[in-house]
Amino acid sequence: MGAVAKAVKKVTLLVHGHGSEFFPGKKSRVEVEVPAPACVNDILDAIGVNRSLVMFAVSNGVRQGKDYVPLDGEELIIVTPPSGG
Amino acid sequence: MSKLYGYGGTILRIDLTTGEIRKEPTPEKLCREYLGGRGFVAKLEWDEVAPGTDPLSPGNKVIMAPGPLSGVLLPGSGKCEFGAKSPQTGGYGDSNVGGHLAPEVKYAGYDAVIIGGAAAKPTVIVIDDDKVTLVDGSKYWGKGCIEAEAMIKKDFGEDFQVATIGPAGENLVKYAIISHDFGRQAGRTGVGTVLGSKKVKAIAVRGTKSIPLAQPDKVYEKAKQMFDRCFSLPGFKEWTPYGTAGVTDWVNEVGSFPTKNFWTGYFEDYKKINGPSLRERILVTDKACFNCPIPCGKYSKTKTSKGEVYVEGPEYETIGMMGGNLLLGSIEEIAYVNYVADELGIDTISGGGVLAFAMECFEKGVITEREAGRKLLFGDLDSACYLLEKIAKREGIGDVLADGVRAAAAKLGKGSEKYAIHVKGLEISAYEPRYAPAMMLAYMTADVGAHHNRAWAITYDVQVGRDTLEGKAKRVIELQHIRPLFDTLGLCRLQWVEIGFELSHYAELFPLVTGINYMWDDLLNISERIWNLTRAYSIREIEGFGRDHDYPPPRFYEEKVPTGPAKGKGLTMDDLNRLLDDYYALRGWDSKGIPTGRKLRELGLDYVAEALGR
Ligand code: SF4
Repeated sequence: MGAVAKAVKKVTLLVHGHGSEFFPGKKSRVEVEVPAPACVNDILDAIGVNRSLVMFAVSNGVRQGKDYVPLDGEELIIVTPPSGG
Repeated sequence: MSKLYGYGGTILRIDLTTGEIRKEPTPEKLCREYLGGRGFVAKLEWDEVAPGTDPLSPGNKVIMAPGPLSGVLLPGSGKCEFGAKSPQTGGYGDSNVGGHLAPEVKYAGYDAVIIGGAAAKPTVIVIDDDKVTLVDGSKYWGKGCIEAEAMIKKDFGEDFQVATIGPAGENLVKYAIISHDFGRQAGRTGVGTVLGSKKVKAIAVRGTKSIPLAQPDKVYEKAKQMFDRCFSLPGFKEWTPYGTAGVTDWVNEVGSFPTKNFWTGYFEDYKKINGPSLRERILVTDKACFNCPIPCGKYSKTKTSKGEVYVEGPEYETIGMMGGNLLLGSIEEIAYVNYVADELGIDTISGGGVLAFAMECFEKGVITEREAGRKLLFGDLDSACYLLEKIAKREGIGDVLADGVRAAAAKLGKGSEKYAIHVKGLEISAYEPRYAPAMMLAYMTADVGAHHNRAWAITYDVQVGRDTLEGKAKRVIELQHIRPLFDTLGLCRLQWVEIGFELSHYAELFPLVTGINYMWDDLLNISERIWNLTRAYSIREIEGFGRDHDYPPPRFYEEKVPTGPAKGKGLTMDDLNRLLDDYYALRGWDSKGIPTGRKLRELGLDYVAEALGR
């Protein structure tokens, strides 16, 4: 039997807030390809962003925890902490 | 002299002792070298307040200064700086307020208002374009900040923008605020106290002029682009509903929430006092400053056992300092204490620190029930409100606490210094820094004393590692130049900090407004000049000022965090010394934390080098 190709999914992260400076290329829009299934925490690990730097994600207008598993092709808003003033 | 664009063009001087009012053209050199806002405040404090002046004497001056971008139709251009020699620290003091004051001052034609001397009786300074008068303010004396603001607007006209002090400022509580726009405050370093010492109850301003712009069409185009960008940024909709309160959960989850007088960094009830609680339980409406697309102000109505009131807030700092730090676990109660402090004219950050200090002193037997007049209990709304009233009136134990935790601990003794959480005499704001070295260094080295607004570095700690000291000083310095630059330009920094609005917009904008061809790096160089000047000011004013003044309170290096996600973590004295050594070296300061003569001259501060004998 030949090797089974690993499923990969593409997710677009729209990074909200100052924390975007710690995302690849200091960008607020980051496209990532990760092995499926992967939750938000897995995606953060894959791109070298500390999990604690993200407060929560938003998918289709709904707040999601970092254990949320986005679908292939999904755009996710990633909310990093505001500075409290 | 070339025409000054972006500026009102005039500096207004008021001598309250003689009643003399003078106007002079804003010097172009001052604009080019110090920009405005915080830069003007720093330079004018240095030049005009004689060395050794008692902060509460007529010799001190309150300086009110919008910035060159204040009042221009840009996002968040409504910020005004107040400054004075600080009665709380004895060193450089300033504080920033939003609302609608800065644009009005600019529209009246002024880049700075310098208030010196002292009036014989309560006074309202009325600035109505070119007409400036000193009006008897006796009928407003004794009134709360917000009540007085409403009365003055009714008496003089709703189109006046009004800044007031409350009973705390009148009674010279050292951390009294200047209040404006029914719930915005220049809260820190006791600027309201200095206004109170001059018997100024309020400043009312109305302006009808325009601000000259170097390239009006391009400013308009750029401003439109900036607004569009703000609205289009990912997550814009996620931040605005909660404003700064939205960070409460995260700060707890990383173990940095001030809890029980900074005993620990995690408050079990934080879900009851976070952004969603505020929005769902007490919010009436969002409220914005001048020209702001992201209204972080939350106007609320709260009902507690003590009554039902309206208040702007609570924002994050108040939730931290009056919530977790006092163990108040209901958003309604925090909003109520917020209201009491705002009306009395007490800074909720320092006030929260002082109340927590008093409660811990009570718990440890340093303050007795007899001395206090009642029990002072954590988690008790009555205790908090009682203390605020006593402090504002300087009655009983309130008189001791009215001078801040450093002075109160010195008076009370019995080891209470351990519970006095401050740096340089300024109570620490709402981040527990024991497991956040960059944040700790930010507090240690903030020029006004422990304040988060100079460098909020905790995300950097989280990303690069909370156990490492490497690179922390560099990051803190970068932030100490960027963040106060907003106070210098007269802008709100939250569009950048919270929404992630790019700094490049501001760099592009500055020359279009002012006609001065500064690049971003030029602006940062000026910010560094101002930082060194404010440091030098404290060196000039406080005997022996330097490294010893940069250490945090012993709790932060003698005790590990006892509970929560940061449990067992903490910094040692060696760590603190390493942070300071790195910081001084990168700044070009000597090992005692004094800028070298070379550094000062490199920054164009030759006059400072001379004054300090460097
Ligand atoms: S973000 Fe908040 S503080 Fe800043 S201008 Fe807007 S309302 Fe004012």
